[in-house]
Amino acid sequence: MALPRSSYDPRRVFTIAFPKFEVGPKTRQIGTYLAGILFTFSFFLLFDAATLSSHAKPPADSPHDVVPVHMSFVDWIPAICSTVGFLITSLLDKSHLQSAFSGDSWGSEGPAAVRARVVLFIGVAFMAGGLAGSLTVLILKYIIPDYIGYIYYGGANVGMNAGIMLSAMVLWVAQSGSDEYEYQLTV
Amino acid sequence: MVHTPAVILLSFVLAAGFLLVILSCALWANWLPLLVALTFVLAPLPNSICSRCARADDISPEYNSTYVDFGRFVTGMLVTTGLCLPILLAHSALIQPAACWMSIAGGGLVYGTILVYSGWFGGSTDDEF
Repeated sequence: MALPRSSYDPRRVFTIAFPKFEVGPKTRQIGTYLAGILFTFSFFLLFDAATLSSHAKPPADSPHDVVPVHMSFVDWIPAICSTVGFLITSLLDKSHLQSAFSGDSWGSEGPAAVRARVVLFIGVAFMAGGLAGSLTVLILKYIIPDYIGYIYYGGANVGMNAGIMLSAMVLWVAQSGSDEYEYQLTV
Repeated sequence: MVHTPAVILLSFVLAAGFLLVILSCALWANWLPLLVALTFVLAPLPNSICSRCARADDISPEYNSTYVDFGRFVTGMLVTTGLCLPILLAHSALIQPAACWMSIAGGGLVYGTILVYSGWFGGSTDDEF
């Protein structure tokens, strides 16, 4: 037989509640710095691959060959998708979402909560699409044609999109805590 | 008056940092690493600008720290740019590896000087709250 849950709400759909992270102001500060560092680092992975590709030279023993593959606009499309998704999820107001998922008496079915959920879905879909697109580029452009020395371009692309996603997660967790200033002013 | 030796020491460190960066450019007649110095000099700016922005509406009870957080994010971005840019340039053989390490060390010295200076002397003159 099932024991009743301690905080039972009959309107709840899922057994496991939306995780609510409580972090202090110090963690918030460090997390925000870390998110910025991760974001830029993942972009520099892609920039590094692009610079390498644009300055690639044919091998020394056959100097008249052409370099078989270069990075083109196709390699940048997943990055654009990921960045758009990162911006959408970061610009979302978290308080609407908390009220949407925690089952408050007001705001659970309000139009703001519905819109927040849709916007969150679109943002995460953009990021996941970017990651999937970078994997597609890696496989179709670099692995299947068997460009052995140039797999780094595709790998950097996947790493970049994964880094953007990780940065969005870190920023989300860091931003969901309370900030120090609010506390000081209310006291 | 007590701080005078510290100021002199800090200015020496700052000069050494700029010397390293400029030497890393001038030794190979390749002025790309100068971008690193520019990034590290710009790195403390977002935090100070954004803290001023956030302090402007201190009176309102609905304080949001969006400005401060954005400043921190941009600071992280700039510092990482300063660290990664020379490595990128050296990886594509646009600059020499020695120039890469020299410009990173020089940029780090410049940024550290600015941080330490604002930490020692900026806090006392700033009217925080």
